[in-house]
Order: sequence, then C-alpha cells, then structure tokens
Amino acid sequence: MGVVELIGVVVLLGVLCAESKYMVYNTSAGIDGGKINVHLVPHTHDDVGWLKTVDQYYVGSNNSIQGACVQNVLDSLLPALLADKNRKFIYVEQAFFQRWWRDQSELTQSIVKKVVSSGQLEFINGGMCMHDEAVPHYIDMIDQTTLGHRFLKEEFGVTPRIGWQIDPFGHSAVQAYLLGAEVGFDSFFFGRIDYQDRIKRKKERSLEVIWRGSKSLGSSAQIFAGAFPENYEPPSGFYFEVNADSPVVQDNVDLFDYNVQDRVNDFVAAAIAQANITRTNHIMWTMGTDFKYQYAHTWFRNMDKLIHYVNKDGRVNALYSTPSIYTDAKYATSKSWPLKVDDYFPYADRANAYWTGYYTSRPALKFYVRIMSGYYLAARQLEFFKGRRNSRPNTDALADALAIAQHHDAVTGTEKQHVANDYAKRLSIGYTEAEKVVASSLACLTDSKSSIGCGDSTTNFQQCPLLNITYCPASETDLSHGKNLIVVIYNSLGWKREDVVRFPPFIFPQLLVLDIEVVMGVMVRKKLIKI
Amino acid sequence: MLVVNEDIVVHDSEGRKIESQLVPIVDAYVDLRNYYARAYLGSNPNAVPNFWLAFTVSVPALGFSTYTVSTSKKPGAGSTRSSIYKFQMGEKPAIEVGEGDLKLTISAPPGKMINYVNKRNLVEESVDQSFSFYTGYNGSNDKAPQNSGAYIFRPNGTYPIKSEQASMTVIKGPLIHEVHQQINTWIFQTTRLYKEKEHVEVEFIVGPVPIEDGFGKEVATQIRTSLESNKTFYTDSNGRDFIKRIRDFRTDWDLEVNQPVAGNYYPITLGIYIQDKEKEFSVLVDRSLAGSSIVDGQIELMLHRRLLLDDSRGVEEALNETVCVLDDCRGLAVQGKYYYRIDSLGEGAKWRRSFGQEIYSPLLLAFAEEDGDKWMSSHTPAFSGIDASYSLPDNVALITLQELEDGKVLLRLAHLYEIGEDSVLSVMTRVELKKLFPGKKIAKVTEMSLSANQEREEMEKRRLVWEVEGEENQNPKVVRGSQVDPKKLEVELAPMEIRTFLIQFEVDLMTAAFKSTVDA
Ligand SMILES: [Zn+2]
Repeated sequence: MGVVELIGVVVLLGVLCAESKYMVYNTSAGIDGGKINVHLVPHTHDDVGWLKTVDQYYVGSNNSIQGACVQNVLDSLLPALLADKNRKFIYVEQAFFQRWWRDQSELTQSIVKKVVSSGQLEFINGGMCMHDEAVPHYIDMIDQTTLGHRFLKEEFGVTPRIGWQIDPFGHSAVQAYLLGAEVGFDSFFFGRIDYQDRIKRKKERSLEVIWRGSKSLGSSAQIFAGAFPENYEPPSGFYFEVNADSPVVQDNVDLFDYNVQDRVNDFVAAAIAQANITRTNHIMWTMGTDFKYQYAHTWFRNMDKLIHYVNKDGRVNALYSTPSIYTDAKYATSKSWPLKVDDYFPYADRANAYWTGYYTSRPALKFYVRIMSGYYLAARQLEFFKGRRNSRPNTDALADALAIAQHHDAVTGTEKQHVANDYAKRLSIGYTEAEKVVASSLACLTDSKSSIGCGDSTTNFQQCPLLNITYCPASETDLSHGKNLIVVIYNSLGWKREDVVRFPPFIFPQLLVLDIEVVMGVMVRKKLIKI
Repeated sequence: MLVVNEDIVVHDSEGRKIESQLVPIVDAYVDLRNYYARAYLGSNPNAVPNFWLAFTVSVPALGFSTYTVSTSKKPGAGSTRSSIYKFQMGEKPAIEVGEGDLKLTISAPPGKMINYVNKRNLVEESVDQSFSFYTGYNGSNDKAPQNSGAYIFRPNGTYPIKSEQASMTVIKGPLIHEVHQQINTWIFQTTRLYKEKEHVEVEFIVGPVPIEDGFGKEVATQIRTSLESNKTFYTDSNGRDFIKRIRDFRTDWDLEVNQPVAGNYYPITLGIYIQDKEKEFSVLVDRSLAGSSIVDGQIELMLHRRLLLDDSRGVEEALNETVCVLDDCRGLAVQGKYYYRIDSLGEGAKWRRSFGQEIYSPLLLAFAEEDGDKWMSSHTPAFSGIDASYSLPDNVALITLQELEDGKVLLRLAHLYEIGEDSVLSVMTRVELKKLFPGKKIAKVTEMSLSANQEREEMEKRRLVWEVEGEENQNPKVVRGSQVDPKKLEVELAPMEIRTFLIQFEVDLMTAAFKSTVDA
C-alpha cells in the first residue's frame, strides 16, 4: 500500500470515530465484595541460573541461549510504576535485586524506596533465590532466606509477608511450616503439584488449603497455602511481553483491529472458569512468567486497559494486586479451609513424567553443596570466636555462593553444564576465602601467648578440601627429618565427640609396597620394602 | 630387599600415645586421586602415599584438640599396619569382620550376603546388598514423548549388576575393618566398620558409567533385609521431620500408578527407614539422593545418573557429566557414602538424629608442620567455645552461631526430635545461654523470626489465625518453649522447635579497642 492510500484510510476512520483521543484509564479498582475479584499480580520469575549463569541472566549476555536480561526488567519497571500509582509489582529473587541495587544511583535508590514504602513494589519470598524444596538441607534454606531477608530489612525496613515458590518441582513440609509459618509468612503460593492431585483439587475446590507441615508443631506452624490452577503464568491469551502473540488490547477506534469487547469477553470467561474451581470470590492471575517484563510497559499498558474496560463492563472486578492483598482478601472472608498435612512429593506433570530423577541428578554437585554447608556452619563459629572482620577475608562470599546454589535449577542438577560449573566455581571461591578465616582463627586460638587478640599468630594451617579423592598435600608431608605434623581437629557440634579421623601421611617417600599377596586367606603382614 | 623399621606415632596433647592404624590406599582410590587431582588442579599430584593414617580423636564441643604425628624408630612403637586378606571364592564359606560390638559375617565372594549381628543389643539380621541400573527411557518415537533426563526419571527396565569378581579383600586392624569389592569395572565398594561404632559405612565409587552401548544408565543400590515393612517407609523432609510413605499410595487421592518405580521415589536429604514389629532399618546419606522401598524389607538409593537424552523441560542438554584432562574425557565418577544400622523397634531415632549431625558436620582438620617437639608447650592445644563443664542436651543442635556485621550474634538452636520419635529425647529441653558464651556477658537477648528480620513477638502478634474445616472453634493445643527470662537466660525447646536469637554482649573495651586496630 502506498503512502497516499494509507493516509486516506486513516482519514476515513478518523471521520467515522471522531472521539479518538488521549485516554486516561481508571486502574484504581479495589476489592468489590459483590463480584468475582480478579487479582492481577504482575510478576517476573527470574531463575538464579539455569540455561545461563546468574550473571549472564543479570546483564543479558549469552542471549543466543535465551534472550533474558534481568537488568532490563528492573530498569523498565521503575518508570512503569511511576507512570501510575495503582500499578503494582512483586519482586522475588534477591540475588538479582542486590546486583541491580548496587548499580543504581542514590537518586534511583531513593525512588525505589518510595515505591517500596507505598506498596507499589513489594518484595515477596525474599531469599537470595527461590530454593528448591526436595534436595536442599533445611539449614541451607534458612541461611539463604536469612541473607535476603536481612538485606531487605536493613535497606528498606520491610519484612516479606508471602512465600512464593512458584516453580520448584513439588513442595516440602519443611517449606510450609519452617520456611513459611516460622518465617512469619501469612501465606505461601506455588505452581507445581501432581497432575492427578490437581484434577481432584480443582473438582473439590481444594487447591487452597491450610497446610500443617509438622506433626510436632501442628497448628502453631500452619500456613495458608495455595496451588495455582495451572502454572504461574497468565491465563492463555493474556501474555503481554513485547514479542508475545496474545492479542493486545486495541481500543483506538482510529486504528484497525479494535478488540475491546472481545478481550473483555475473554477476560470474563477466564475469570469465571477459575472462580468455578476456587473458594470465595477472589482469584489470582499471575501476570508474568520466566524473565518477563524486559520492557515492563507492554504488560502494564495492556493491564491498565483490561482493568478499565472489564470494570466498565461490570460482570467481574479486575484490580492491580499482590499476593499480600489477595491473602488479606481471602482472610477477610472468614471462611474455613481444607487441611493439608505431609507434603507434595513426588511431582509428576503428566503420566510417566515423575520429576524424581533430579533427587539424584549431579550427585557430585549435591555433595559439594552439602560439604560446603557444613563447612560454612563451622567457619562462622570460628569467625565468631576470633572476632568477625567486615573487611576480607570473611565468610560472606561462601554465604553468597551457597545461597545461590540452593536455587531450584542449581543443587537440583537441572541446569546446563556450564551453569553447574559456575555454581561450583562460586563455591570454590567462597570456600577459599572461608578457609583463610578458619586457618587464621585456629592460628589465633592455638596461640597461647596472646590473651586478647591474634595479631601475631604465625601458624599457617593448611586444610584438605580434596581429601575425598585421597589428596591432601598438607598431610602428605615428609616427616623423616625430625619434623612433626600438627593436626588440629575442630568439632562444630555442641557435644564432645569421639571419632576416627583419616588422612594420608607421607612418611616414607623412599618406600614402596610390593607384597600384598595373601594366599589361601592366611594373614600376611604387609611388607614395606625399601628401594 | 629391606624391611624398614620406621613407624608413624600419634600423640595427643598430653603426650599420650594414641592407637592408630595404617590402612592401605588401594588402586581404585589411587586412580581417582591421579585423575581428579589433574582435572581439578591442572597439575600432577605428587607421589601417591601408601596409607591412610587413622586414629581415634576426642574433641570438645565447639572446640578443638591437637594431635601430633611423628616418626619413631623404636620397633613396635607406632601405628598398627592393617592385616590384608585376599578372600577367594570357594575358600571359606564366610568371613567375619568387626572389632567392636557390630559384626558382619560376609559370604564367600562375590560377598552378597551379610549376616549382621550387634552383640550389645543382640539385634541380628541378614542383609543382602547389590547394585542395579535402570536404562533411561527413550521416548523419541512415542506419541507422548518422554525421555528420562535431568528432571525426570523414567526407567526402561532394570538390570542387576552381578559382581563377577572371584575375590574380595579384607582389611583388619584395631580401629577399622574394611571389605573391598570390585563389583565390576566401574563400581568399587568399601564396607567399613569402626570398632566404636554400631553402624555400617558403605563407600562407593560409581563411574564412569558406560554408555558405549547407546543407553543412558541410572545406577542404584538395594539393601534387602527380612523386615516385614508392609509397603511403608519413612523419608525426611529437608533433613528435618520424617514423613510416612506408602508404596503406590497417596493420602490425598486415589493414585493411578503408571510408574511403579519412579512414582515411588522420594527425596532423601538425611535418611530413610523401614520398620516392622521388631526392628527398624535405617539408611543415612552424605548428600541428597533419590530413595525408596520398592519391595518390602528393602531400601533403594539411586547413586548416579548418566543419560543421553534431554527430557524436554527446557534444559536441552543430556545429563551426561564428563571430566576431561586435556583430551582424555571420561564420564564423571562419583564417590560417596551411605550408612546403615538395624535397631530394635523404637531405638533407631537416636542414631539417625545424632549421627545425622555428625554426617552434616564432619570434623574439620587443619595441619601444620613443626620442627621439634615444642608445639604443645608453646600453644593452646585444646579449646572449647562453650563452658568446659557444659554440653548441649542430646536433643539439641546449634545450627547457627554467627557474628553479624553490627557485632550482634545470631544464634539458632534446633530440637532434633519430633513428638513421639524417641521415648526419652522427644521432650521439652533446655539450653543455658550463659554456658554457651563463657567469658562474655550477655547484655540482651532478642528472640527473632526464623530469618531474623523481625522480633518473634511482633511476628506472633501479626499472625493470621486461619480456620480449618471441621476444626471450627477448636483450639488444638501445641506446646512450645516459653519466653526467655532475661535473668535466667534459659532457652526451652519443644520437639522440632527451632528458635532464633540476636544476642548483644556487654562491650569488653579491651577487645573492642583491639578489634578496631585490626580492622583499620
Ligand atoms: Zn524457575
């Protein structure tokens, strides 16, 4: 079509619908007690490493693997929130948020603090990552949550209210009662439960329950827990990322493809379908998915219009919301809920698809994470005994590496190989620094000359992280010339302990073992033969 | 040829000689060492030592002990070398190992059958331990394709791994007995008994898992007993509460079984156990693994997985871990341990909980070299961070002791037992904070939420009280530890309770001054 003809079409439409002009959308809706309330919860799910490493996801490199850049999300979010005070957003993964926060000017930081205190931006879950729930040790879950929560408390003075474990592959009792109720969360939401369980719960409207995860702590550690009807994405047809193929809401009558009534009808139909499987007149739509909102404006532009036109239509009530607002609304109904005990394992998303392989996948990485976890616990004790330094070396790098390693595509073994290597590398860097803390603390504590500090302790203690492959340069030392090997053995348990230790000394470098043959089960003393 | 007479001697900090044992380092371990040291460090390790030196240590709570290792020319003064037996097929019907109360009588090679006897509590059981692998399902040509992969376990048949070895090696000494079995060319197993311990330690080296036949493999071990476990087994939740599992059954719905193995697998973080009317059989792991009880009396652990196909959940890579030294690439070998023990019914929890803590927190070893014998007199050889007369109760673990950036101390105490789990230890227990911090004066103790971002009291005030269907207006009573009295400074812990505290100490001016110079 030529330019002249195009102009002609526009002019024609302009004549037909003369009222086309700048629109102000009414996005201020709150809860309407007499209608189905559709809580639109804008969110992004940012894996702390999966197909790309955590840093690659943050900066948006290695995009041939996956076009994903968390910096884009957070950069574009702020102006989108400032454009309309009714818009809301939740942010979850603190490993990303902290990277971004450190990059911001003081001015930007002060603006972020304002949108946080006004409730437009709410931190939920709030750990460094969204940890897996099957394979992490509870101490690691606590530590990584604490790391994120204390940062939020110190920087923003906020305490997250909601557990948001939308992607992990099944859900644990410990998550519900310990990392939920005992953290002070008011509710806990997730996406993945067994496909057979889901069918039944939809039928019985029991996706939302009171979960009592611990037999011992019972109702004192129970939590409102909601499984999503399908997944953590919007209903089909309501994806508004820049490159998404859902129909955008087109309300400009001067342009082709005006579709407001269709979109409103789609919206109402999806809302009623969900309301039919949900108790109370509150339903939640998770408006976002993996690494979405890279250009936040496309989502908000469309949600602004949906809220405006759906509420004008009046059959259901649409509102910008957060899981906190949703939880409060559920609570306000004073309804009672089905009881859930135990857990949601194992998880299958369909027949013959049990997500039980990842309980073992990458067993060497799983061991590395576990051994570092125990080491971190001991290193912090020794750091305290000596007196912590905020300057390096300290145990912070190991804390950070371990936190990220609890992510649901990290210790699970469900990441690409180069990403698994990245987690191991971070653990190794963190360990190397913590090892120095341990060595200097032991040097200090063994140094009897100094009574108040350890400035002059000189012992250079060596440790053996590769003892599991029988490699310990520190103990494989030549003691043949009157040297002694000093072995200091630290016990991080609160009890006295008797145990057998093993390490390979190298006392006889000139010796080889030749004869280990034993005939007919008769014991023969192993001979050491000098060569 | 000359037999040397130089020995290794271990002394404790009081100068007492400590019994020690030299355990030979066998080829399977030498191979691991040489290959992985090069892979990890990029350089060849030095010459291989011949032995592990093993000795029993005694270490105070939150503290250390010091030992010296030296050489001696005095004949018979030093470590006991292990005796080594090569036990051939057809030689003897069985061989007994175990220096302490626990004895295993292992049948002739390949040594599948084990008679387990604990002479202290008279528990006896026959145990049969074996390996098998599942081949990863290839669903490429199916209508609903689903391969076995990083996320999903979908076996296509199970194949026992029969040990073809005609011999086993048995290593005996005063502290440790070991049975070495080369199960096949890519599985090596050491069964280890410690004189003072009543559990069996099994160390496995699995891999490289062969894939030359074009099939991915998922390697499992099965430990069978005669326990009549009636489809029921128990697995932990993230190392904490144990949850009852019933094979081919779900509490919340009528299960339609389509994967009789994969659909019965559960995550094992700490351990798994089964029981019958008389006994319980527990297995603890050194890392998270998949586990189940696929037939009554048996416990299965999946140890390693090497797969050739992606399972269509986005990773788009096969779970085929390899390690390379220059151009020499091999499938990743995995070395690890699991531990098992059989108890009279009701007696297993204490081992699962207390030994579980030892697995999570292995002793930390630090080495230094020294000329001469002055170390013990010129250093502090023993230390405990808590009051020397004090020890945490058997049912409590200290799970966090951490100085924060602002100088406050974050402390978490965890009750290790559930209600009804142990006849003695599943009770309210107490920890004396003053005894945890000798030499420091506690100025203030603030109880916090688990993640230490708000005061516990505030959190409880804000807590929403939800109604449960069928429990309306009831108030199920739950006992929890009471508030900490600021004078007594005792922390009460109810079963499974974890309590989190921020502790401020009265400032010791000398230390503060010293710290500021060091930090400057
Ligand atoms: Zn995810």
